[in-house]
Amino acid sequence: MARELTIDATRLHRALQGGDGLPGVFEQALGFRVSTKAIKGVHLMNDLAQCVLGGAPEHRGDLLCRVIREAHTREPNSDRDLRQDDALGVHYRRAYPEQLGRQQVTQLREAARLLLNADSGMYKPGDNMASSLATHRDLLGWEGFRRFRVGRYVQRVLGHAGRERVREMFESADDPVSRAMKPLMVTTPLIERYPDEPAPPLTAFDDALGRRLTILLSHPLTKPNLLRGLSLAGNLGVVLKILGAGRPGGHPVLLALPDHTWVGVRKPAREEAVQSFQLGIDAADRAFARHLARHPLGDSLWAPPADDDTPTITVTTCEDERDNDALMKAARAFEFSKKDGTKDLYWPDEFAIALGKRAGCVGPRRDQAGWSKHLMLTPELVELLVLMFVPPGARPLPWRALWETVRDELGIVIGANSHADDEALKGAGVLHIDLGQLARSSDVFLAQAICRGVARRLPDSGAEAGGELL
Amino acid sequence: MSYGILRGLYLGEASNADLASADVRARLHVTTPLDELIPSLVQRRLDVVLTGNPGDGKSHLVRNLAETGRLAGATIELDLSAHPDEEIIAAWEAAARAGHPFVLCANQGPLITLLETLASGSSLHGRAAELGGQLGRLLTPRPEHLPPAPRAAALIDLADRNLCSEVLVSEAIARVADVSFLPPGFSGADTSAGQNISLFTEAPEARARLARLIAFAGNRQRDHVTFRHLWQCIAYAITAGKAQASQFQDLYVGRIGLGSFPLDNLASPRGQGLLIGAFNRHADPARHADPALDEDLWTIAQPRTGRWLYDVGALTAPARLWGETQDSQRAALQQLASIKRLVALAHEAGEDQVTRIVQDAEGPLAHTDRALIDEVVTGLNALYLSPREQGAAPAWLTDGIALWIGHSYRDVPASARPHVAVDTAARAELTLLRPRRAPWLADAMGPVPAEAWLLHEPSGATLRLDRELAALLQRAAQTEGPLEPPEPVQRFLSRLAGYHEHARAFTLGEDKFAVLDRPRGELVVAAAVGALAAGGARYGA
Repeated sequence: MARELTIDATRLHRALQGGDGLPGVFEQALGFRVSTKAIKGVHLMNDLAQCVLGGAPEHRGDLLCRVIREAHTREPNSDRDLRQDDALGVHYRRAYPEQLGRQQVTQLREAARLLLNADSGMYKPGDNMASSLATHRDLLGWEGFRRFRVGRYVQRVLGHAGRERVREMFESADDPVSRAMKPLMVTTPLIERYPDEPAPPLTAFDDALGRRLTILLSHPLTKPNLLRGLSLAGNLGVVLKILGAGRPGGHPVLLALPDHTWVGVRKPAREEAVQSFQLGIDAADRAFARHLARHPLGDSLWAPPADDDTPTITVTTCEDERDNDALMKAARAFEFSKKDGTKDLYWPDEFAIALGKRAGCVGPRRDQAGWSKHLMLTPELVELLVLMFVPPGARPLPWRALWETVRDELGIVIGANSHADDEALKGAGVLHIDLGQLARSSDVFLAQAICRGVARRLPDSGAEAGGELL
Repeated sequence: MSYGILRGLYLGEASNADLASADVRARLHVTTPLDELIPSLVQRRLDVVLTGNPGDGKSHLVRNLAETGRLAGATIELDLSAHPDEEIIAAWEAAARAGHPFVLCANQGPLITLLETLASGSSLHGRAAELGGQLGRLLTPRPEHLPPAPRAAALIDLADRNLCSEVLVSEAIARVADVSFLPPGFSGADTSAGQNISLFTEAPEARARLARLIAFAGNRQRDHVTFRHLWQCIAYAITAGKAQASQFQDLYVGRIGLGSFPLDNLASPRGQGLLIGAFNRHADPARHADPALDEDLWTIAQPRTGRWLYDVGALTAPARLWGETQDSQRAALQQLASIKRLVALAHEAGEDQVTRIVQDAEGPLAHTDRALIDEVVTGLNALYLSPREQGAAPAWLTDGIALWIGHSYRDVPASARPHVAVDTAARAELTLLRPRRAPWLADAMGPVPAEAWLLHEPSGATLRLDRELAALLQRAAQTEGPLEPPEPVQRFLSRLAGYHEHARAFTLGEDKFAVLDRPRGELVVAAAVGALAAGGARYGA
């Protein structure tokens, strides 16, 4: 017998999203918070570095923020202001001796702006928005986005070897960016403002992701490029983590499409890719519903609303009055039905989509009616996956074997092993898979990898990737 | 022979040795140095394994050698995949016990599996090890990787063979340029295929020029060209892939003559195939600018000097474009293109025309090592710092390869990221590696591919240079404006910079650096970082 129950929306939002020191269901399940759509790679990397090192320098990154904001004439960032500044003047005068001349100092400050703030992670000093593209501990700054703990998640999955590698990178100043920014480095004690908190145990997916990110960091590339790779692959990992939250072992099953423009034809396998993405969201919602039952607020959710002014959600349940799946669906419908533009609840998939679009792993990039979301891999992400799965100096890996391992460990399917991939997608509930389209999509990945110089075709129609080819 | 066989070469049927009769195989056999090498290896009692791509001609070659008695005494297995490995191993072991050479055709994947099986406990493990050492190493830029001369077993990897030589392609055209491939009762003038066969038999120069163009196109593109691709291209040039009935129809409706000659067929968008596509991209004479010739063709429909080598009939000059409708303009341009293609094959002036197309076929890769290194260094630097910006840049940025490194975590192309350089790779640290073949193969596998590797000796990092990259680097050095640095270049610079980070001890006070707002953009600053006695660092000019 179906019944309609009225639920306190505020209480439900608090249970899902957390508040007043109580972690929400999303955070409990994922190990990080998702209540933003503004976070980007540079924030994740700033957080990760501070988690590994034990905080950010006491100076908060204020000098860097002011150096790069010379063009903001309403702020006291002119050369004269900074030379006379009580706290920062001593560092500024040392870095930019007066004999350099105004023009040269301006050029040097512009260069610092380009290198440290290419991703717009820095704002005014003192605003907790000092995420520079730091390659060294002394270039880190205080950052409010750390409260979402996404960098902490990556730090946890990295494992000891990966964390030590990150530490070593941020303590070395031999890379091109650190060497160019050396005069702006001010060494002060580190302050950890977001200490570690209890987190859910790592899943098999987390272990695999951490192992692969560690291999990525072992390649003999220059540090800025390794950090870029870690950022993009870390973002991809976070997206996969969210979309695999409801799957066994935390492994998603997602059909990825290449970042490719198809002229005159529909994107092959798009429907299947969209289905797999949506099924990942649905499975995650069911997992969150299970967490909801165990949440400290879980019982109180079913109590009547506190007063008449409280916003409410109507839930239709079956026999079982405490149908948490129905509660999740009702919460989504409630958010969707709001016409006033307010946003009370941020869903993990919205977080994943926003983050993924910036990292090139969720498409389409532009929101357009009827264009549903799917996992996408840019050629750069394909290269990063090759670097993650073929250690430096190893023999190239057969193309199909590479993607079989990627599928098994990270849950990304591209159709390189069409029959096995088909089985995996069917197992995750994806229907009506066209093997021909899957193969066409997969061929584009291979062509892009060959063009990028990370794969080559072999006799007998095979291919191999990574290793000595790089 | 029949027209069906000729057309079947385009469709990939007649070029399959397993489907063709012995007569057809003999007729289509193009002699290559392997016809001598393989029998000589067998005579030396060596086992021979042929591997390669589908369509490379493994079983065709072995069948032909066997049918002409040149593999006498050898045990022959034409297809490893046709039998379980145990049967193959048993046959091979029996041959070894009897002292007979064993000749095997094998696809690479199954061959690797077989060698792994042989290596673990078989009496053939020595041969397996020797073959494994040859696999993928018979053509390499690293001389130290070349395997020694075979002692018991030799691998012939047809994937390493370069078929794109003028002599070989010309020989292949001659094999099918024969009226015996025409429908019974038809002469050369009756069908477009017959017309094209007549062209090649009556004007051997036309055959040679088509061979030059096909060889040039094949060498310009990156993927390996197999015999199947070659036959596909030649057959399409002659037949346009038309069924026999369509050839008859051409006779009745008069679709013979201009527009149906071999180069028109190859330029048709309907033609499918690796080599046909390569011809379209690189070797179509109509796509090569030739102002003097064009003027003649617009005016009198033929070159002003020289004579036709073949009776092409009366040609009329294309209608002038001015004031005409769009359709007639298109028709006039098509007519001009067809005449231009015909001149290339069938007119005395075509010799120079074809020479101009195929000249400098190897581009900068044909230069000496030192000259090529200098060109590559100049080009790599110009990919980041355009020639105009280089004028204002300090000398250290162009002395060697400036190690420009992009810096951003956003999903934007390299050309939109700021770049920094603090180091260069000195020219003295760079050497060039060219591909080499195992000496015992001599010239049996054709010319080595036109490619090279730039090696940074201290780090071991390499950058593969092919025609496309070499051309891009040349363009970068001569132009301004945006150019996306290719990914292999970015990775090469990243590896060099990574090597410097770990292998060099930096002395603060000697550091120079430069920052670009983006590749080929503005050089924002070039300055130095100096050390202070009290610790820390400061900027200097």
